[in-house]
Amino acid sequence: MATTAPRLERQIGASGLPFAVRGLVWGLIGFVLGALVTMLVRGLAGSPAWRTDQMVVIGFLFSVPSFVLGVGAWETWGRGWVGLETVDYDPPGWRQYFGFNLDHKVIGIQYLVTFIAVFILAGAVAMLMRTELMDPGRTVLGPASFTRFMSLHGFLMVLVAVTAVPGAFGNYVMPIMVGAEDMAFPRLNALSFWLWPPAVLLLLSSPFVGGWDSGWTGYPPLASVNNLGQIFYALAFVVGGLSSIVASVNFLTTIVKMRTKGLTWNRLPIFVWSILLTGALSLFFTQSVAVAVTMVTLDRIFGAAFFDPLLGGAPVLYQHIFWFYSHPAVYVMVLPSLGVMLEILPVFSRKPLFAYKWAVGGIIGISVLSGVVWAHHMFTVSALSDANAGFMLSTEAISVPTGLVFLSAIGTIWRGKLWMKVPMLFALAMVFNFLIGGITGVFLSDIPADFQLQDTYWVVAHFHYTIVGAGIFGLFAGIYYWFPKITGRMFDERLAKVHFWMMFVGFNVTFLPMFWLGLNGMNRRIADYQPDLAPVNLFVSLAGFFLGTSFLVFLWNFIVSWRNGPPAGSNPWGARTLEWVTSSPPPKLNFDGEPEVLDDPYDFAPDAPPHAVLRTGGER
Amino acid sequence: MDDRRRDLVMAGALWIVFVVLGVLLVRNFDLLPALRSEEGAEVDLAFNTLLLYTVPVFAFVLTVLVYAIFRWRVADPEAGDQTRDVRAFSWGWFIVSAALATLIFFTPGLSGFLALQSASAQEPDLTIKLNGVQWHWDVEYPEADMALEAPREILLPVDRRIRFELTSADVIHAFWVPAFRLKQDAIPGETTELIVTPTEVSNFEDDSNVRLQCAELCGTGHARMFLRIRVVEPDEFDAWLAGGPMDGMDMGGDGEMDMGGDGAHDEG
Repeated sequence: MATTAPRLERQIGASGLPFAVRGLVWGLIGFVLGALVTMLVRGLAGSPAWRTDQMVVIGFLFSVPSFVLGVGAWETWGRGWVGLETVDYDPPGWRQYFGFNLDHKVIGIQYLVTFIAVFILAGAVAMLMRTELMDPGRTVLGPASFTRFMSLHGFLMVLVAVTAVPGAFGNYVMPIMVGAEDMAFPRLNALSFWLWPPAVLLLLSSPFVGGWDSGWTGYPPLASVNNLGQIFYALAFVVGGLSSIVASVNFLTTIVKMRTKGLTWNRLPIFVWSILLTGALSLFFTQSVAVAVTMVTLDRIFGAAFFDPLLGGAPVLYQHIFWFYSHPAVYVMVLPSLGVMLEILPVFSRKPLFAYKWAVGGIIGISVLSGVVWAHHMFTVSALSDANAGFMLSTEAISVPTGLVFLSAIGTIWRGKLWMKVPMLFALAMVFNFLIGGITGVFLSDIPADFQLQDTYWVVAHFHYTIVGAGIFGLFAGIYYWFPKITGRMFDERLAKVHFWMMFVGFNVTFLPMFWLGLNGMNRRIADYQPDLAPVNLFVSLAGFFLGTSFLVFLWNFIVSWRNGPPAGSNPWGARTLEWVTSSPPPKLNFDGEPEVLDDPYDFAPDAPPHAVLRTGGER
Repeated sequence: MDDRRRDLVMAGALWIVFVVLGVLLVRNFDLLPALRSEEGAEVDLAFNTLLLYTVPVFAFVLTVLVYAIFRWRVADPEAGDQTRDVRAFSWGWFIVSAALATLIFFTPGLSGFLALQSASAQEPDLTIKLNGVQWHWDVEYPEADMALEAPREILLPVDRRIRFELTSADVIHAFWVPAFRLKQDAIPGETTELIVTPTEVSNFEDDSNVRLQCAELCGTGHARMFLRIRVVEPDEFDAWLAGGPMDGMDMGGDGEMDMGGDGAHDEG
């Protein structure tokens, strides 16, 4: 293409050790360097040179850029800063995934595979937790290990929920859906992925320094006095947050500026809308959580006292800053999946997305309101203070735009022709799960009811119904929907249905009884409970193991079908959006021709013009 | 057109069936455990009211899901109806959902909140100070000049309005007695309060929800940071306050909660 710079002949990363290994080595060197600098400065200042927490923080801050340069950012990016020629990282075969590759499709797959792995790991931790909770009293972990594993499970899963769908499909599918050759900033895109391995590796190594026991929320003062793992948590949050911000800049710019000819805002696929608003939320709110955990870290390592009441600090302040991000973050977890759901329902109903403008308005309304509801996580901080009433109002108001998403979903299937393929099964399950998640959230927004429900298993059940029931079900809906596009192969339909039914039934029988447990005196984040709750807990644990098993079926199908599945063709579902107009998988720059959008993406009338065509030949 | 109407009528009938079933369900199965405080009645009222309100909403979406799946599933793809929007329905949906959100805000939300506020504004009959410490509660009865360090059990008088003054010596804890329903954080450097009036003579041995459970994650011993409660007649309570712990009652003194041999401290 005329606009593409001529490719340099030199190939990097095509042989020898993968760049990812070099990145690890450089990262370790950076870590040691940072730690040594810390020791040097401390020594020069006359303090004892060795101080573990400071050395970890400074070391990590050195190691992240070293790692990123080491995986190939140096050749593809850094050389340019010093006036040298840059070289793209584009080796053939499996090696393309193990370096600083700028192709958004490679990056999408990197995200997808990485966060499936993290999901399976964090799920395995949940299995350990449910083993402990099979019986009252000590079972396998004991309270100290349980609390740390619970924290690790919670935080890893939050990362999966925030990242997997926008990371995988926002990167792989969205640019194709808008008819672009790549994302607006390919290097930032690669950066956003490669910030994750250091953060995830840090978290996975945290158990070796005693982990941390303050959950994914990390409230001080507990977070100011517990194990070193708390600092690992904070660093991972900051680096992961940076990745989110970088990615969101890219999403926003790509969607606003790189839509192909004819793709007006009112023809934009609903999934792209969901990624647009997700990007806006991440861009505006993420720095807030980075500030919160950084302040805790400063309290710990430099003796600041932001949250230390004995020195005039305010522990509750942390919760405000934290939730100012972390409530919008739950919509970062859910909106992209709702986008996937609303993308799938019309295709498998062969009917336009119902009330498209209402649905878009709903997504925008949710995003706007999500910024003014944070204190509903804190009703019991000062239970009867007047301000709580305002947050009750804003929180209950958010049910209105959320309701518009349901309007669109059920309006779409009404009088459609429901083709019950696996992506459709997941999308319909999401409507059901998210309905329960949403309705049980109303109880939490109600201040009087919240006094019983706050910090109990009701909350655990509620957020699993929203974040897993919608967010993670949306991830799997998207995986099955776009698997043929991404791999060029079809998955085993029978195994996929086995996975779906195991996951759907397993999920509901695991989490539904938790509502009852919460009402009946089981508080959350506990290694032990009153013996009269034992039978229901045993049931929940067994159901949870069944749910866990379902993902083994998925993994088997995913791996085997990726290698040996039958060719899928370019458009196995008969969908209309742009990713189905190109081949499976798409060529390097996505289209063999210039895409032009002619019509609505959801017009399934037999005589409807196509949503988009590819113009080939001539001036492009 | 007849076809459309038939679908609406049948789905409407299904909705009514679901609503009736739902109402029967929530009316006949009490999800909440036994209530043993005056103020908690507001909580239960709010919960049960919301439960009732959610039935038609839940049933509506469920109806469409079930009806559509059974009525319109096809083995091979074919074009469905091409309706893009039904103006009246979408607007109606929007208005009804906004009205519902407004309704639940005012009642049971704001109404219950204001009722709890005015209940807490009344003069209490006695004050009990609670100090959360990893991982036990220290209890003080200032009127009787009695302080208990890490007791295993405390007494409360029935039908007396008790003000709990909460604080913490270290990290954030929270007061929760499931049978009383109310919850309030205990924050280091601050004093928060909660007013509760026990309505029934009861004790932990008979109902495990008669316990003061820490409800805010506070570290390793969080799960077992609970204090048994014994609600007794005021006479008995007064005698106890005057004379100190009665015989046959373990009032602690070992400085620790009953850790039940679960090794809360083994990994310090």
